[in-house]
Amino acid sequence: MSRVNFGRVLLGGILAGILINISEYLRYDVVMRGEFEEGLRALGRGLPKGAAVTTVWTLWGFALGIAAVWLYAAIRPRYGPGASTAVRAGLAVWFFTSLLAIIAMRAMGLFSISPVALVWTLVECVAATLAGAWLYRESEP
Amino acid sequence: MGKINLSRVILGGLLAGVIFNISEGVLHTVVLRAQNEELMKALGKTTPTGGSVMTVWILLGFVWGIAAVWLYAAIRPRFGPGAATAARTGVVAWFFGCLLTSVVLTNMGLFPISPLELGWELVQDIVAVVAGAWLYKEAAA
Repeated sequence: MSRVNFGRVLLGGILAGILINISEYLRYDVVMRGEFEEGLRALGRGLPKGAAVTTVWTLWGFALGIAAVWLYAAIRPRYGPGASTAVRAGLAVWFFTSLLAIIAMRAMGLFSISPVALVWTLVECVAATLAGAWLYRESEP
Repeated sequence: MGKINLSRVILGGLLAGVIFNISEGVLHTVVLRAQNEELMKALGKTTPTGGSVMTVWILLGFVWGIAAVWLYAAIRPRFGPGAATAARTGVVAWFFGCLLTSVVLTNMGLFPISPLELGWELVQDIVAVVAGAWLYKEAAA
């Protein structure tokens, strides 16, 4: 089997990370801002702000994007190159990163399950992985 | 390439889930119990207990195990069968499921990063996937 092309994982991952960061900004700062603020207020916390917080969110988005495209590259020999494999990788990323976390937060009594957040993160993970995978190339073995 | 052996994914996933659930139980109800109670108190909450909460955690553990062994099966053609690929899968599941979630919770000002918890869960995820992968079998292509 051929090796993962790390240069292309980075390239695709950065594109995926840009999409994730735009999407997360829209989710937290626009679409779900009220819900998010209310949830944090119920826990005695305010909306986290500041350069350090924004830097961490941004780096988090890029780390997620790069890891998502790596996952696409990792499962490519099993399912073949293309969009359907990227969708599969995006679903796996969403499952481990968002779905389990959202259920765990509910079980801990911290946040209620938000259908908007579930669907938003699902579309976000799949779309970002698809975009990143579109840039991923590999020489044939 | 051969298709994924779903019955073996479920079998291996159940074993991985058992290990995951035992380890999470020990971690959160014994090792980190006092620390968790303190952190929840700071948020004006108590650690949720009871049959329904336990059921959710246990089901979550089994779902995680099955998904993690599926991930192992999915990346197997890329990295080859065996413990090294299973360990890699454990690291990937930990990265998506634990590390990224911990960063989110810390950046939201809810919980500090716990090196003990992260380290424990890294070992736990690797051991659980290696055990689950040990039960995974596939007809040679």
